[in-house]
Amino acid sequence: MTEVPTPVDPEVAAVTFSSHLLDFFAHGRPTREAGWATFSLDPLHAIVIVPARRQDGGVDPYFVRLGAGCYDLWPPSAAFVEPVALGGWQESPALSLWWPRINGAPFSFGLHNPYQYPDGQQRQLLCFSHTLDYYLSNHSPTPEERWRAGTHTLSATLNRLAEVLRPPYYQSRSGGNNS
Amino acid sequence: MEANQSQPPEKQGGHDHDLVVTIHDEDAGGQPIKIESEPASTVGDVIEQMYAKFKTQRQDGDRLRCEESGQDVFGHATEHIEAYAKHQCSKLEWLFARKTGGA
Repeated sequence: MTEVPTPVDPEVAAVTFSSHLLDFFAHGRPTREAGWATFSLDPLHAIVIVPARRQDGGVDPYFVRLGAGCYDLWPPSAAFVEPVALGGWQESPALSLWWPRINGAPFSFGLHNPYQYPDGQQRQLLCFSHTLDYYLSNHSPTPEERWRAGTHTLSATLNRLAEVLRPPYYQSRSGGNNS
Repeated sequence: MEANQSQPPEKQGGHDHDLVVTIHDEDAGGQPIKIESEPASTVGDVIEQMYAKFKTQRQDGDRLRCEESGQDVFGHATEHIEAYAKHQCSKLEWLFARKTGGA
């Protein structure tokens, strides 16, 4: 694995991505928790609906867009997104209903919106070592933290998100009526 | 998924009191592993078998949680599995994850 993420063969990435996503839905959290769903945007991108569990027992669904351009040599890219006109999707701004408020986490984790990337882009950063974006933002994981192809799959990415999107960490949607 | 969450820990035919611990590898995904254990076994014995089945060893930052409570499992290593199931984690479904970096 090189130090800087680079795209992999798109056909290989698409097959691996699809296979791992199917596996997650066949054997992972969606078999034990209601509210999960997924649909493909193109062979290298999918939207996953991740249910956030509130303290009051309610559920707030979020849209997470996964990207497989460097998968699975590197983790999938991940962003909270929201629907826009003509069937499109955009990254959710910080005060959007589709951007969660999370307080604390049981592992090293951060949400930054916007984040200034070294290449000058300003966009979300779901800052943990199971997203591609973490490796594009000058972070230095320890060997134990680093993504390992063959050991980690997108299950790691989605399971960590699911873990922080529940009490006591998940607070509410960022924008709109949070009641 | 093979285990039914609404049921108590699975018992095996012929070994009336054997308990089955279901462990999900949150990093790799795939089907969960199942470990049969006698009531007198400790949680630590099951953890040892889990690492053997995963063909790995415990590393700094590993986390193992009871799915229903979110409670750490490693801290109960000395307890007998039957007592642990009765008082701490009745469904005996565990979630295994390795260290994560970020901030």
